[in-house]
Amino acid sequence: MNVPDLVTSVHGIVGVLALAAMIHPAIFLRDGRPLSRGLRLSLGLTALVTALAFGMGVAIYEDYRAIVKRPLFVRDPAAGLLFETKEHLAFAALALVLGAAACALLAPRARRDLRQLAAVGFAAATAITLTVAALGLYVSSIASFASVTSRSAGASLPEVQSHGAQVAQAGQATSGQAGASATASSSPQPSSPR
Amino acid sequence: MRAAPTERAAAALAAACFGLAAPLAYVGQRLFERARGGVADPTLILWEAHTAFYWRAGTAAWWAGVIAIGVYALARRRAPTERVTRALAVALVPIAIALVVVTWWYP
Repeated sequence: MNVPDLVTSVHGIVGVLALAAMIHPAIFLRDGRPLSRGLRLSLGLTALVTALAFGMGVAIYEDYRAIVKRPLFVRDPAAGLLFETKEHLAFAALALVLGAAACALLAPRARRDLRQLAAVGFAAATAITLTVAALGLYVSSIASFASVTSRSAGASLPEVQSHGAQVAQAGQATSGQAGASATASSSPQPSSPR
Repeated sequence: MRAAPTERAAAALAAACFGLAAPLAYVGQRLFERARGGVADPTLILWEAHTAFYWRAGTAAWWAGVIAIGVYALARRRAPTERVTRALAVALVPIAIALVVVTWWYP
């Protein structure tokens, strides 16, 4: 197991932990009671774990882009686009959690409505994070660091990146041939990078 | 020194507005990119640098910060009423659903 693969696994585990953590304030803030010490701690930890999960995703994004993304699009373009959806929704979930946590922590004791607003924010973030987790699991079943690098076990990172590029080019060549035979050169395939 | 309840309520509302505005700004930027560049060709994405994500996230956070500061400035003068926060809570659910649908159809 290489470092990006390990970080991806931990990112997934922390992400699921964040999902579990944000359910708690969504339930306990819904009646707008003033915050107990435990609930304050829960809000802080939920924001922290969510930010950690997002931060780890951002940290491995460069390697993911270089090594996994191209083979992912070659194997299943629809799954590649779902990964795009996942990253958009992850940002939405992070923003909602941070906003809701700050809203609940800052609300004066008498303002139940603000804490109930925070509860709705956490509920929306939970639903979005559930979608993110499902998409993450699905996409990683198509292509991941482990599945791409297992074919070049023991290789250095540049070699693995080169392997990813070769996989992408092989897929491109295959789709180019298929496209050429199907359309009889009526629509040329893209052959050069932007 | 503790802040006055009006100021704390204004700050809480501003934080909630930040949480709602950031994803909206992000999706707005993404839709603009899609409208400007057309439907993405997956074969071209193979070569896409796609560091646009960092910029999009950063710019969305900046817009949300500006909106939150504006909301705070307005709400500080007059404490946000329950009606405003309830309307925001009611609007949040369909907005979240719309975000999922839009990012699914226009990744």
